[in-house]
Amino acid sequence: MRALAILRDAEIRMRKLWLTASPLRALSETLLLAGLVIGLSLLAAPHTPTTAIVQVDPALILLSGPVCATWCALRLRPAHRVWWREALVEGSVGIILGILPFTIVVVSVYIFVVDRGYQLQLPTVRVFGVFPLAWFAALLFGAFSLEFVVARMGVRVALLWNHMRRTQLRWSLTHAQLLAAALASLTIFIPISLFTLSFRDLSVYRLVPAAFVFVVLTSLGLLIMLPSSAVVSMFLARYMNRRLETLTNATAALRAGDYSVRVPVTGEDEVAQLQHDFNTMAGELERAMRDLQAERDTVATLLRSRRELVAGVSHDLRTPVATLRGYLESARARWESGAEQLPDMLRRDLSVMERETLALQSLIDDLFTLSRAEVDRLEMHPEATDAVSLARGLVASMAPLAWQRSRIEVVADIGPGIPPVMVDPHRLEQALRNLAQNALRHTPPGGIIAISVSADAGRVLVGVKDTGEGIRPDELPHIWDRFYRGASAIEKGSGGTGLGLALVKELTEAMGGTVTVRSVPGQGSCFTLSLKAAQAAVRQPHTLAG
Amino acid sequence: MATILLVEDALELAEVIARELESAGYHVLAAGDGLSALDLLSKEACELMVLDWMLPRLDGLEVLRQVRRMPGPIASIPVLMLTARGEEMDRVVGLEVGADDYLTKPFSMRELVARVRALLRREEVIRQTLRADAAPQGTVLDYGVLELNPEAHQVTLDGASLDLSPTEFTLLHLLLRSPGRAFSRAYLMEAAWQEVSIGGDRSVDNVILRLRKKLGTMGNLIETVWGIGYRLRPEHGGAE
Repeated sequence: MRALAILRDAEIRMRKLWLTASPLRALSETLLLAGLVIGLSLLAAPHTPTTAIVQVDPALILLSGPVCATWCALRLRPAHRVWWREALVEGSVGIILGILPFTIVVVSVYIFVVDRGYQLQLPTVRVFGVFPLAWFAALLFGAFSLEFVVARMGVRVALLWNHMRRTQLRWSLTHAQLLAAALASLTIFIPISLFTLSFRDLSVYRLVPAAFVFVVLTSLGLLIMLPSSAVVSMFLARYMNRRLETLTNATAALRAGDYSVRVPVTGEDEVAQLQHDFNTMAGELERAMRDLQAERDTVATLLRSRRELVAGVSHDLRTPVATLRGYLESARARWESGAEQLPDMLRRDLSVMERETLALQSLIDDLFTLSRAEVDRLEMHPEATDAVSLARGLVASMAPLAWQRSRIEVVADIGPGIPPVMVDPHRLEQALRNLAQNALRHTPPGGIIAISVSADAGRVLVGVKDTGEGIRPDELPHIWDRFYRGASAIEKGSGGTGLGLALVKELTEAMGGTVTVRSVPGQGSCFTLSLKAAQAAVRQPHTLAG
Repeated sequence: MATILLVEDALELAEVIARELESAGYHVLAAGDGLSALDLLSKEACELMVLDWMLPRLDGLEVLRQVRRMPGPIASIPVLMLTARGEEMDRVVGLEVGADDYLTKPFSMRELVARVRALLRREEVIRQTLRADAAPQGTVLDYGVLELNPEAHQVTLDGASLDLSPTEFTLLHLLLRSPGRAFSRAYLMEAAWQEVSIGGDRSVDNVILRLRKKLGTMGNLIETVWGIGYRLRPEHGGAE
């Protein structure tokens, strides 16, 4: 267990090692490495003081180039910047990588050769006994800079490939097969290389270039092998992938509510099993869904017919009971006034009948309340409504009668820039009509009723104001109660039932608005509905228990 | 006594309602369906209609709609609706114009008679107000330093007599009679010239303008109501 933990830690550390260093850090590390390799090789190289020729195998130094450049390429973290800034940073790193090792060599030459007292002119120095200094610089530059660029491009390709195989199954499968092909190729090439090498008598200095050659050869072999196997893998993966894609699409359709979707079953493997199970599952879902819907329809039909029955019965019972009650009342009124003489027996019977009629009426009222609770849900269908044309229409329809009957002028008072409101237009009209009727009842002849519309910070205010008698302050809190009628209304018998304002409040609040009232006794009242302006408001049917 | 048109298809109910209304002193005409109700209404002078919602041939709501569209004063006849279904009530009060009151069946006869009486009284109040506005009155009205004598057709401000045209006098008289009450331009137009107002006519405004000028410091007592009407500021305040 402990060993496993250590392994896991090591793996995490390894992962942290690659592609995480800042450019400066990557460069310093690489230069340290290069300095170490070059310095050591220079130090270890035999040199004759007379010719001032440093005799090191050039291959050793040149090989250190790829190693260092690869290290740098693997350490440098990719920054997710704009592509040209990225290219600039990496290009600069490459150039610095090419220049600095050269400086190290020159400095080393000075330290190890010049400082020992030999008269020496720099341009004549031949590094490794062969290369003029300039050539050597070019070689180093190529070994470090170009190798870095190539390695970096390799890193990019690897990252891209990794991203592709993470997000798409097709590439993941191709990757797995390519990996297998690469391993197979390596197991063939490496023994052959080793076998070939073992026939030569090789010194350590020769072994390194030879290994280099073989590495290059192996890579070339892989480059030829891999594309062909990649093509084959692609085709295999595509077949596999297509089956999964069909399943994915079918699942998405199922989630979106299409329960009739099925997939063709292909083959006999696990995917085929999955396809089969999917079909079974979809079938069961479809059946369950259909059953539920049928059930719901049945229940809805039952409920509707029951509601209709209750509403119908409570309706049909009303007229006969009203008739019965009317006759009984009228009969009693006549005997009480002494217009008719009735035997005691009959009088008592009539009393019983009247009492029972009242009991019957209260039963009907209960039945009616029940049916109303179920039937009379105020359906709200909010939509973007033009309050201005609604107000104008209302004024047009009410003004003639109001003028004719009580010489009251009904006018519209429309402000500028009214946005549409999110309401049920019929319900809003109903509320406004109630308010206007109410105003008509309480305004003396010659008065004015104005239906005003104005906009106010995301809301639209629709008001009904009158020049009527106003509402007493002590009555204001009660006006919204059902069946409440103002003292003056009762006194003057100005009609009205005390339901209108309660209904207005219910309707307005069901539409997400508020209703307020201001009133000055003797000068008039102003009822204001504050409604939401329609601005991408959610359209949902609301229901309100009546 | 007032004539009431009763429209109810249930004969027994119609009979008992008619009996009650008659014993309350009203003259009752009865109709059994919507069409004959309209027919009766166009022939006879009725002051009020008791209208059932559910009627054969033409339902109550449709009858009401057609009545309101009739020419002449009959269109403004007060209507008491009878309904058997509660949810219809909301429609009567709200959406459908024109029903002045309603009752849900079954109802008490006493309540029906009371409501009929209340509706008729309300009509009477309106008629009386209109008549009072139109008829000349003899009482001298004073409002702070302002005094109006209808008999002498004279207005004095702080004791000094004002020279007013007949129209100006009529309007000032009307305003002075009910301080605080608002009068629309159309109403004043009708009161001053016995003419139907034509939209956009500024004659009333001009008269009020002249009146304000002549009243001098008292001129601001005539307030404008929402730009379309005028009223006399209700509280006395000569100092203001």
